[in-house]
Amino acid sequence: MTAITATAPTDLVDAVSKRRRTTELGLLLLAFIVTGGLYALASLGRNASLPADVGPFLAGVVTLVLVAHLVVRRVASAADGLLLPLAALLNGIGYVFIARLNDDLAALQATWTAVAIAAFVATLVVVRDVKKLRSYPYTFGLIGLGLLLLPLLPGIGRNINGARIWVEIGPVSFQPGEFAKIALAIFFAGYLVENRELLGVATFKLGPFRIPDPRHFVPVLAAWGVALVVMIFQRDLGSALLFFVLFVVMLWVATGRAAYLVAGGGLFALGAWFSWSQFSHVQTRVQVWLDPWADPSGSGYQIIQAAYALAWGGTTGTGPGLGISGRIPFEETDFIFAIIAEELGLAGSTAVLCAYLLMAGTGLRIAQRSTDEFLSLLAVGLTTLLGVQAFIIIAGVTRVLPLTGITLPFVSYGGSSLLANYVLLALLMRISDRAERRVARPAVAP
Amino acid sequence: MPEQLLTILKICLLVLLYLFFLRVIRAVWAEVAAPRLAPDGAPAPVVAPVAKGRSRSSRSTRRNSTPTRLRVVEPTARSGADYEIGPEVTIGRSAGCSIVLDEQYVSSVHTRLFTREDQVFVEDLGSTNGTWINGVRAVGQMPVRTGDRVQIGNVILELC
Repeated sequence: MTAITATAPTDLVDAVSKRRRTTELGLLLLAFIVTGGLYALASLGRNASLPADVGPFLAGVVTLVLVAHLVVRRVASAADGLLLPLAALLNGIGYVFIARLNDDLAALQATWTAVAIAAFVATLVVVRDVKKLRSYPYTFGLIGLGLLLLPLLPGIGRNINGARIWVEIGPVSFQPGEFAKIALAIFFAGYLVENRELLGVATFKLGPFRIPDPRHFVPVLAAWGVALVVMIFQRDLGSALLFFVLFVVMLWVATGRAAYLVAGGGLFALGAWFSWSQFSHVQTRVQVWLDPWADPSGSGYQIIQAAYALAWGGTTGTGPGLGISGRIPFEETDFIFAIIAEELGLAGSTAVLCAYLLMAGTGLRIAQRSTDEFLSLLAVGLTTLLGVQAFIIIAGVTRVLPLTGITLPFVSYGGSSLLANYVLLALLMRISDRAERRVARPAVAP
Repeated sequence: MPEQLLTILKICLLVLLYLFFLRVIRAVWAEVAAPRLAPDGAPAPVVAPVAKGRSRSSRSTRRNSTPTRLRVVEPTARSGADYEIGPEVTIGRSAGCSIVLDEQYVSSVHTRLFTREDQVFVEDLGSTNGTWINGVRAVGQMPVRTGDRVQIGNVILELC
C-alpha cells in the first residue's frame, strides 16, 4: 500500500544531482579557504608567525572534506548540496578557535572530527532507506531512554562539572544523551505518523474543553516525562529544554493543531516554575541571568566576561588570535560563541548565526519536499534539534535566556556532540536524496 | 606583523566568509525559484507515463495541459456532471465542501484538489476509505494531470 511513489525520470535526477554536487564542491572549496585563512590568521595574531603545522592541517581538512563529498556523490548524489558545506564551515571555524584557545583540546577535536566524518559516511552507507526506521518506533524510544539513563548507572556514569551526563568506558568518555536525542526524534516521528489522526481530533470531554483521547498520548507522554525527569536530575537543563521543544514542535507539525503549541507553552511554564521552586541550581541560573552583577566574581563571572568579550569585539572584532583568551570558564565548549564574537566581531558572529539559519531553512525545505509523512516529520524533528540547540546556547551566552550548558552544534569542543550532529546531518541528507528520487505521483494502475 | 596588515587580512577573511553565504543563498534561490524546470527549460515531467490501459488517443495531444475540470464517471446516476477545479476545491459529504458528494464511502471532508504553478495536486484529507488515483492510494500531495482518474468512495472523477 505504500508503493505509491515511483522513481523519478533518471535524466531529471541526474540533472539535479549534478547541479547539487557541483554547488557542494564549490562551497566546500570556499569553506576550506575560509578555514585555512582563519587558521593562518589566528596563528599570525597570536604568535606573529604562520602555524608550524599549516601543511598537515590543510591536508587533513582537504582529506576529510573530500572523503565526505565523494561518498555523498557515490551513495546519495541527489541529496541537498548545502548542508555539508555549512557544517564543514562551522566545524572549521570551531576547530580554529579551539586550536587558538587550547592545543591539547585541538588535537582531540581533530581526532573526533575524523571519527565524526567516518560516522557521517557510515550512516550514509548503512542507512540506505531511512523509511525503514519507521518500523521500529518503540525500539528507538527504548534506545533513547536507555542512552539517557546510562550515565546514572554506577560504575560507568561520571559526574563532570555538576552534570551527570557522562559515561566512561575504558579511556573513552562520552555523552550518550547526544545520541538519545536522535533516537527519540525517530521514535516521535514514527509514533506520531501512526497516530496523528487520533491526536488531531478532539473527542474526549474535559470540563468545558474537548481534547483528543488521552489514551493516545500515553506512550509519547511517558517517553517525554521520563526523559525530562532524567535530564532534570542529571542537571542537564539545556537538553531538557531542547527535548521539550522537539516534543511540542513535532506534535504540532504532525497534527497541524496550534493548540499543542499553547498547551506546550503552558506545560513549559508549569515545569519551569516547578523546577525553579524545587532546585537551587535552577534558582542560581535564573538569578545570574537577571542580575549577573550581584556576584560578579562568583556565579556571575562567566556571563559578565562573555558580555565583555562581545562588547570588546565590536563590529569586526579584535582579529583572530588577538582577543583575551583564558578568562571565560568553558570557553572551548559552552562559551565558544563569545570568543568568536570577540575576535570576529558582530560580522563574524552574525555569519555563524546565518549558517544555522540556512541549515534550519534547508532542513525544513527537505521536510517540505519529502512526500513521505514519516520522513517529512523526521526531517522537521532533526532540523529542530539542530536549530533549537544552537539557539539555546547562543541565547544563553548573550543573556537572552538563562544559561544552560549545551554545545554549539559543529562548533563547540566535544566528541559526542560532533559525532551525533554529523549522524543527524547524514540522516537529513539521506531523506533529501530520497525526496528527489521519488517524486510522488500516481503510479501506473495495474 | 604590523597591526594594519592583520586588520586588512581580517577584513578580507570576513568578506570571504560572506561570499560563502552569498553563494549559498544563490544556490537556495536556484532551488526555490525554478524547482521543477528540466535542463531544456520545459516543465519537467512530474507525472509517470500514462497508464497503458488508456485508449482514447485524443488525450495524448493535451497530455501536458493543466486539467481545469472534474467530470464524474461513476456512479452512472451522476455521470456527466462536471466541476471547476479553480485554485482549490474540497470534496466531501459535508455541506461545507465546494463539491458535495453525498455518496457511500465518502467522508465528510474527503479530499482537496489545488493548483500550484499550473500543476494540479490531490491531497487526501484523512478520509476513512482513502483517495485513489488511477487505482493507487494517494499519500500526501500527489500531482495529477489530464486524464487521471480520482476515486473518492464509490465516486470516480476524471480530470479534463
